[in-house]
Amino acid sequence: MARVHIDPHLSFAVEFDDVSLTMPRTRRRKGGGRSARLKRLAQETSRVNEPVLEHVSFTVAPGERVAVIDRAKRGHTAELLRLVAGTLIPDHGHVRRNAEVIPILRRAGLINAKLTVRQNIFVVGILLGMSPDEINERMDWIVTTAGLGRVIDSYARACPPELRRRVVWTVSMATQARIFATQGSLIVGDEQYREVGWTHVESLQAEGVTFLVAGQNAPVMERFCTRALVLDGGRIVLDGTVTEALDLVGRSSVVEETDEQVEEDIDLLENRAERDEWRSD
Amino acid sequence: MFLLVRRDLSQKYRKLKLGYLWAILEPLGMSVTMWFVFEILLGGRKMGGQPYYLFLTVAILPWWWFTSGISSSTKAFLGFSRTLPVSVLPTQFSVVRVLITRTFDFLFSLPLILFAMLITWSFPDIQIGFFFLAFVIQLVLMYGLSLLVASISVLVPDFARIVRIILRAAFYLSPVLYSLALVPEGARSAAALNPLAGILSLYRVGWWPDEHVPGFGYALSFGVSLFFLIAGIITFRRLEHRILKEA
Repeated sequence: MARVHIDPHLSFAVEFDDVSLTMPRTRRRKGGGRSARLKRLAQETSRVNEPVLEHVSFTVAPGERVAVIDRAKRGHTAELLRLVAGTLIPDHGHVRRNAEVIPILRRAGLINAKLTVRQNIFVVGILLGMSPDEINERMDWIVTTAGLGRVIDSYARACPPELRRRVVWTVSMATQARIFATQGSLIVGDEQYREVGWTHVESLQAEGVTFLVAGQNAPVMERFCTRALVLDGGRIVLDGTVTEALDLVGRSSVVEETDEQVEEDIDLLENRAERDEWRSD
Repeated sequence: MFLLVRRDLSQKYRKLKLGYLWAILEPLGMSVTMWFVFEILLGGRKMGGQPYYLFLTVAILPWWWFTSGISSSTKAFLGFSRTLPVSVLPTQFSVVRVLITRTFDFLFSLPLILFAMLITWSFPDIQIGFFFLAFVIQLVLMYGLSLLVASISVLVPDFARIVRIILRAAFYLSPVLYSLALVPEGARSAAALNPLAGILSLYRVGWWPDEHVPGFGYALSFGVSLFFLIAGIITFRRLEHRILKEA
């Protein structure tokens, strides 16, 4: 039932073959003339197709842990991860993978505030390709790992964003996929929970699970990743070790997404959730 | 899949006091109004089979299913835009999800036909079997149309409004209020081009055997349904990469 075609015989975990992609973006009107200024004032926007990747080819071997860094910080790493997972289709070229890729993006936003935590686990699990039986089977693991003992049957509205991220993270891990594409923190939650996360991720690492991580802070990348890809202007400008990549980009510029960003995400998604409610005309 | 649909349904109705009854009340209101207007206020002119209330109900329920399904499919991809980037399920599941939700609404409203049968005390013969055939064909037609409408409305925001106008026109162009037999001979094959004409007639033949349209008419209706199915699938395939970009 997968969205994407999987080549089990591929010798790579992920292969990008001459991939190009543009994304539509809304841009504020540019230009200095009177009418352009007026349009800007009226918040009129124009849609442009922004190139994200241009003829990018690379391969990831099974068991590699690749850090993806965007030098220009244009947020193009999310698109790359979506291409890996197959939730975006390239304009040109092919992306191949040898197993199902579980994307871990926009985590807190996946939680529907109007459902209970347990219902959310089912919904997210199904979106990530698990069957209800599998979810039932792994429910105990999810509840203990994410520490949901007390909140499991309360509405997600009452849960702090950090807990929501933890739920989605744990459900993603429960898919037992062989390839993960994660954006934002690889490990979520407070200090205590981070320990649980690290233990789990390191056990996956020992099993030879492939990771592509983006939007991560430098210490975590150095600790976890074996290789780094640096994107700039739609091309890969560096494919080497994490240290090389951090030297090129500058350590301080590689930062984890902040809590504010997460809050912003949630705000945005709450608005969307209202739009989601269908009313018959 | 069914789990997602169940969540959608329970979410849709949970806030309302009358809950699932709304699946029944909306088409009930519509059929009673239409019956009142055409049977009482404009009484005398025979628009279709008798008893007219039953005649209306049998067609209005599928019509309601059709119109609510198509109009909510305009929002199918937009509504799920936050899950599309992470969902490993096929993209068209968003459309299927909306369609199945609406289909359950339709199934919940079916007791209305039973109710209409009881108050008018008229019961169908063996040809009621065509009712299920009509259901299947309508499902095929709606899947195709939903895919088509959902794909285009992601890329053209105005499309939802256009669909609304077309649906309103289609209500009068389809034999919901009247019988296809009342359409003049010359215009009948043109009317049969509307896939709903054949489908709605099929729903009715259990009670009114003379509602059957000529074989040619059926072929045309079902051919058009099949055409929409193929058109929907092709359009979706063509546009899928652009739909994903909008999410």
